Amino acid sequence: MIRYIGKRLLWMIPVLFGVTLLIFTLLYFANGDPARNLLGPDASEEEVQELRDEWGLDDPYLTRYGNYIKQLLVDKSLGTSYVTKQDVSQEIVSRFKVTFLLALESTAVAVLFGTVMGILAAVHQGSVLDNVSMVVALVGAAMPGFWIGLLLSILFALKLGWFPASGWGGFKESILPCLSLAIGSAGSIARQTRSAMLEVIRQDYITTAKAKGVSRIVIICSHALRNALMPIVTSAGMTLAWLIGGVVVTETVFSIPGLGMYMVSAINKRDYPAIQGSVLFIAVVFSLVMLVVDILYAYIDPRIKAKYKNS
Amino acid sequence: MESKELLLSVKELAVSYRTSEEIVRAVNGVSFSVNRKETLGLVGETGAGKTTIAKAIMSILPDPPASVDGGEILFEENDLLHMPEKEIRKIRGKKISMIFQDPMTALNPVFTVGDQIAEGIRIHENVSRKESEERAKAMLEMVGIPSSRYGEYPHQFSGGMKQRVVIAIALSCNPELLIADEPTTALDVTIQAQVLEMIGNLKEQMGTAMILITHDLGIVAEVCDNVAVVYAGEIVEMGSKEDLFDRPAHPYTNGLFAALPSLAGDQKRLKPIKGLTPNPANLPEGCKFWPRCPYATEECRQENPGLREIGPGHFSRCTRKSQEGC
Repeated sequence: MIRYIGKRLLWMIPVLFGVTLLIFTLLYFANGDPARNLLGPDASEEEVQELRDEWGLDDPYLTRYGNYIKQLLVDKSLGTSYVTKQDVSQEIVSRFKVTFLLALESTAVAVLFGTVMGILAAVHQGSVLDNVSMVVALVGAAMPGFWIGLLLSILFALKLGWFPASGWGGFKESILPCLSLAIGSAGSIARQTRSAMLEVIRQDYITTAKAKGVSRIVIICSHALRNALMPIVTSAGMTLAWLIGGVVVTETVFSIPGLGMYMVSAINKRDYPAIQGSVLFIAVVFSLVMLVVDILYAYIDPRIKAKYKNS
Repeated sequence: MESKELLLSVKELAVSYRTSEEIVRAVNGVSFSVNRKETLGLVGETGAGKTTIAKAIMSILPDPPASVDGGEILFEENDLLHMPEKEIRKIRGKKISMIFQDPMTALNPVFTVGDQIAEGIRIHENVSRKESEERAKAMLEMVGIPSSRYGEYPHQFSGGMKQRVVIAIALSCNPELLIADEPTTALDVTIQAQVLEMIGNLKEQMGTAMILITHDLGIVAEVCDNVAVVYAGEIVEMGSKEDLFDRPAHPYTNGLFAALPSLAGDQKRLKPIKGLTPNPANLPEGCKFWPRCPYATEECRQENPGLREIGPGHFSRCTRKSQEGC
């Protein structure tokens, strides 16, 4: 198991190299001048050129990439932001805390509601409950998160005044953004859970359990759910990873100072170190989340654990 | 057999599977009984309704689509079909238990085999976790698996070993009736005999009655006291093993015996029964066997002959007087 994890961690190295190369190349070809952006339209050509020279923006492609990699590996630094002159990694970490909390909270809510709804729908297949919850799930999954966010904000913040409409601080501020992110994911998790449960319930070992005299609730919650957990864990992991990388719009709607907002403003200002740094950071987090999902597989299903051991 | 004590009696059981397109009549008025410590063989082709009968007794038919349309199943004089689910759960796995056909899929892949045995014991025997584990280990030893393998998972066992685990689960609470649904069909021929012998021995030790579902007449000859031949959801012939093997009366039973390859004669080809089992969604009128029966008459096409007693305890669903011309 440890060996498997080690192997997976080693595999992350080429993946992350690929990510740096990709994002670097994309930014190399992107138009827009970070120096001009920073200095504004009134600055003279000389000033702009001076800054470009300082950042090495006119060096050839390979030299620039080489410098970037050297900076990553030798200086162990993501660089300094063009705009704020702060260390990018510090900025990312402080932003990431917000995003990560929000993503974690939303995933937890989505998994909780999604699984419960999916199980109920599967157990009462074909009933009104099944149909209603699947329609709700479909609508939830189909509505864009930011739109749900706006609606929630109008109702609960502006009309009822229960929660603040924007900002970030404690638990109370997180409820509306969390809900607007969770509803969509809960819908897709519910659908996943339902189909996985329906698949499992038909298996012979469920009949065996029934024949042993196991009660229905234990069969559903233990024998069946444990086997249906794989796709649920997968979509929970995907949700978490996706939220960490992509809550930009919802963060904007609720003006939350998270990683998404940071990235968007960095992109607008062509703040290369900040963009590259956040993308790389998200790639690392994404890979780690996927690794955790794969490790969870091993704990859910002993057959997969055996496979890991043999590989 | 000393004193015969009735354990289970099934009366006029009818089960159908309903889908949106059709109604499949899987079991049509089946009656039989099993005495304590005796073994009844249910013999028939694939799709004859044997497993449905077994699942009806366990009341584990998938509902929907299955529905019991009539009849009663009396176990120790209680009707299982009209018992609340909570009561039935106390019987399932404790008094009546079942060995399933395919050991490869009958065990839950994410639990250890030991826990799967212990679970049933814990439910029914009101013992501590530790004691249930001890008893599960003893059951493993009993079916010939070292108790050190308690913590292993089903994928670490071979098919034959898995079937032993399934048997251990079924016998873990000392059931009074064991339903074995083709327990050896999915196994290698070399393992079949072993597993069968083990079931026989354990059944003997525990004094359990058994319903053995099979399509293998050889197994019936070895294990059963009584035999019921099932065809298209009906019992076509029923009697003691001797009745069936020495004096088969129904043309279908005769066909089954004729289809067995004989080592004695100089036989080149198998003699199958002509035709196929009827589609249970569209059963023929009259005797359900007539389209395949060499002796079918006009009468057979119109009226379903009831079971007639042709000898003491020997019943046949055929209008022909005796085994003329077989």
